[in-house]
Amino acid sequence: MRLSAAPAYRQDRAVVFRWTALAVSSATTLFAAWLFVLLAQGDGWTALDAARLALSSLCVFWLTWGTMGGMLGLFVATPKPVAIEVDTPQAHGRTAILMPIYNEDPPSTFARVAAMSGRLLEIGAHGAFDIFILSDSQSLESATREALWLERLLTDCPAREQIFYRRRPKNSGRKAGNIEDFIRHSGAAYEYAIVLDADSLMEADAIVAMVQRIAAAPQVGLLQTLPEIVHARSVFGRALQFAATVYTPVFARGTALMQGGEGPYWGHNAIFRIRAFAQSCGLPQLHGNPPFGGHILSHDYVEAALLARAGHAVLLDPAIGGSFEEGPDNIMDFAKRDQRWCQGNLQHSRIVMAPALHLWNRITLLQGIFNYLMPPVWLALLIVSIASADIARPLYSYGYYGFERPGPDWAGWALIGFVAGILILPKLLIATLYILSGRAKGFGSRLLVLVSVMAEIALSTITAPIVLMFQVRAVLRVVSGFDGGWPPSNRKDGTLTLGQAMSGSWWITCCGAAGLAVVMSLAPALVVWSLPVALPMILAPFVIAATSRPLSALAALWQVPSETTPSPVLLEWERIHAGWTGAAAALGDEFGDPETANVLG
Amino acid sequence: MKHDTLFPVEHLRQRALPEAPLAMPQQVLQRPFEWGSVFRLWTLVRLRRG
Repeated sequence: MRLSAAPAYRQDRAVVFRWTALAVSSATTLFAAWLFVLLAQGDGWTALDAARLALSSLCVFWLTWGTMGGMLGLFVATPKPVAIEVDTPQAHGRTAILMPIYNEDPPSTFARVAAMSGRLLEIGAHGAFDIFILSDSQSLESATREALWLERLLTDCPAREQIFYRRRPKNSGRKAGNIEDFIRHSGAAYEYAIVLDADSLMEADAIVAMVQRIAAAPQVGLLQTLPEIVHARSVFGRALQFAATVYTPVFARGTALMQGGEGPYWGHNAIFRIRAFAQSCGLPQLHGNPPFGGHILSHDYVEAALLARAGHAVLLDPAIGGSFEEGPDNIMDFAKRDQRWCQGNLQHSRIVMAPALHLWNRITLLQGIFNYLMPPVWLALLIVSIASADIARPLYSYGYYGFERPGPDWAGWALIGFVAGILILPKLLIATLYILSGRAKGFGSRLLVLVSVMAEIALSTITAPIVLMFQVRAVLRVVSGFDGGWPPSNRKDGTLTLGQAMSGSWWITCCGAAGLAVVMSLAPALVVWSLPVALPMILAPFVIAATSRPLSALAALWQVPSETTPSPVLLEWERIHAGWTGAAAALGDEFGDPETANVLG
Repeated sequence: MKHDTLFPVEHLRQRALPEAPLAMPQQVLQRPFEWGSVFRLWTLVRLRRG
């Protein structure tokens, strides 16, 4: 017996936080709307002004609502975990660790299994866990590679008796169907299941802590950890990794406070009670054809809502460390992932009115839908603003926003400053928190944290219009009936040539150039204001290619603790992966085929 | 290329998954549309208006 902690949450506090967030977001929106009205009514109120007011109010509300998570995470203390006496994980029943894979790179994925298995063995907890590689790979080539690398995995793993592999010849239901297939076949043998992604890595202590925490709280059906992004190599990837390491925990803490027991499930790096999950999460096919009908793509949010509907708490537990995943290393891969998520989230419009769902779960589903509806709203605001400036041009001789503008100068600047503040303030406050609380050490130094935050803000400002255009395209594709399916993620080297970037983003360049040409002809005074959006769009292929390159020259920038003081499981994965993939160079000539050399070597 | 046959290295050290079936009933997420609900809504609105 030793002391651990049961997850703690207060549903009554969560409701207070939700109302607070709603009140603050509404008040902020009203204030911004008042500034806008002051600004717009100077030259007469038009229908376009009304459209701008509606669109900008929606944008400000959305920004503030998102920012509130960060503010709560910064300023409100989370409930202290309840100290409990716990047994060894073996005492709580067996746990299945599930790793669903779909056309992944076996040496990389299987090395993760080897690393986690090795770490569990090291701390003496391996007996309570079985690891299942659940393959949905459809090509003969992938299946053969997996079989070859499985042999290597079983040869190298001392705890091989706890490792299983099965492949479905047909991947019906995709990932959700893969998990469901396991539960239908073997679920009764286990008390809990930990679900991973192909790029997930979890420290053995974290795995054990998850079991102990869920076991200590019978009302909890699912416990979601906060995965930290690791192994980023490129400029874009490392900035994303830094942002996810610095900002996300604070935002997640605030979000967890608002969600209480109706929290999220992100589909991986989480543990659930198998019986509760089986009883409440059998997903039907939706009526109609994809993209809105058929199999549910973003199954995780729906499963969280269904668990809550059945009376089980779903908790986000940011306190459990040692949970890792990888992120996209370039904007094209990020956009590819966004296309999947966009289709999955918009499909939730068919589910949001499902019977007996909790109100908060409906709001969460709506929030996911709006995550992708907002980029078109931003774009519409830009277009309407340009059109509106043209109509207003005859009313004032030249200039805009504070030069010869009929509305008060201060209102225009206040509105711009206000929106910029909502965007940047949380990041600056979080950086200040890290600097003042002495947590900057893992990031290099206090100065380096500040420089990294400023560099991240600069880079995200440059990439934002490009990402926005990809998201707008994703939405347009889905609403026009395009079914993107669920293509596998690219987890290999993400460096892109200029040609590759050009072939994927030429249309953004065209849109940016056309937009700038329209502004120059209709409202020349707005050219300066449109450049921060138009320039990155015009230069999109260069931005995409440049940010996909490794950041070796500036290695210290965007440094994170997982690099300066890596967790043992990360080191173990690196060691195994290097051992498995490094042999090819030495033995490649002898065996002819480098992959065979790796497996046999 | 899809294939439904055993793949060539089936003889490797793969072990069968535990046989421990667990039922997973399908949940109701969409209600079929009923014209009766439109009539009920219309009646309700009419009653409210007096």
